[in-house]
Amino acid sequence: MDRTEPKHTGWKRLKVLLYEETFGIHPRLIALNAMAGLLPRHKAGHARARLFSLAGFQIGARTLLEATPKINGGNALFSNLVIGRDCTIEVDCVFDLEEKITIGKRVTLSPGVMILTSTHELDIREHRAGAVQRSPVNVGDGAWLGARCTILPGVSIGEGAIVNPGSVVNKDVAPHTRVGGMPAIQLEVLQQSATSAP
Amino acid sequence: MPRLSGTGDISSRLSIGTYCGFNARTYFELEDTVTIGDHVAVGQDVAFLTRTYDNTNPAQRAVSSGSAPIEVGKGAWIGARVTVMPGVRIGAGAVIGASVVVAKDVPDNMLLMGSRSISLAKWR
Repeated sequence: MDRTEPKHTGWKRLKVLLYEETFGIHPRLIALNAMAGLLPRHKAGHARARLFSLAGFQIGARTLLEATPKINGGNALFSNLVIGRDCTIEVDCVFDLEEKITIGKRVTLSPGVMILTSTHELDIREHRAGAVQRSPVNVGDGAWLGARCTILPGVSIGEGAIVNPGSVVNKDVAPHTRVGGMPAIQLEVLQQSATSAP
Repeated sequence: MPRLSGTGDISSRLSIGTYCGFNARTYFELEDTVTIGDHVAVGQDVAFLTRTYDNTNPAQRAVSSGSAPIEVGKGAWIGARVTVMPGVRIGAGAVIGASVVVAKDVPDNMLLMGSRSISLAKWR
């Protein structure tokens, strides 16, 4: 292994250490989590959504956040989550906000949905997880993501699509289809009703 | 913050090598030893389970029956939401895809995704 760590001394070392240990801390996110943590789980969905929009996330009207989602990410964290109107975000959802997550209108995220936006490059055998790679995730209007499904980075989910519970989605999902499995494959083409959406 | 559980002297049962990276909410059930080699990366919500159960009693299918150690080889990469079952040895340079339940040993330089596995030995 020829991976060498640069050796710093004195102040320089302290500065590097401080940067490494505090990089990615968002005081506003900590305050938000503390305040939203006081609200009861499965309840106060509108109040929690209001707190999230006050903190700087873009959350549409009448969207429900049934519990505080687990959030982590880099510098642009607050601009990286966009949720449309009339959505329901259930309990224990995980948003990895290294890149932008865009959720459309009338989307339902069931309990435990995980949306990831960062992965690693596949590197040499001595250190498989190489450089970090980031790619955005897009969820179309009216989609329904089943419980504990995992959406991998770079995936775009079409309008009106259904993702089965527990599945791992690693490629784009066409509009109005049902996908499932690990990795998720298309299981069904759903009917598109002529009536317009609310 | 990793979550730890177990009975007895749990601090002596976990050993982690150099240059490892653990994402949020890793869970270690330290009923037995968990040994993690150098340069290992672990994703979000990964669980290392070491408590084993006996399922021969029809009146109670999960009877606690002891523990088995887990070993992760050098340079391995474990994806998000992976569950590593008791007694499993993950080989050096292995890559485990998201959400996989690792119930049996993984050879060196093997990539697992869903129920499929590909050898990376010839790749690099």
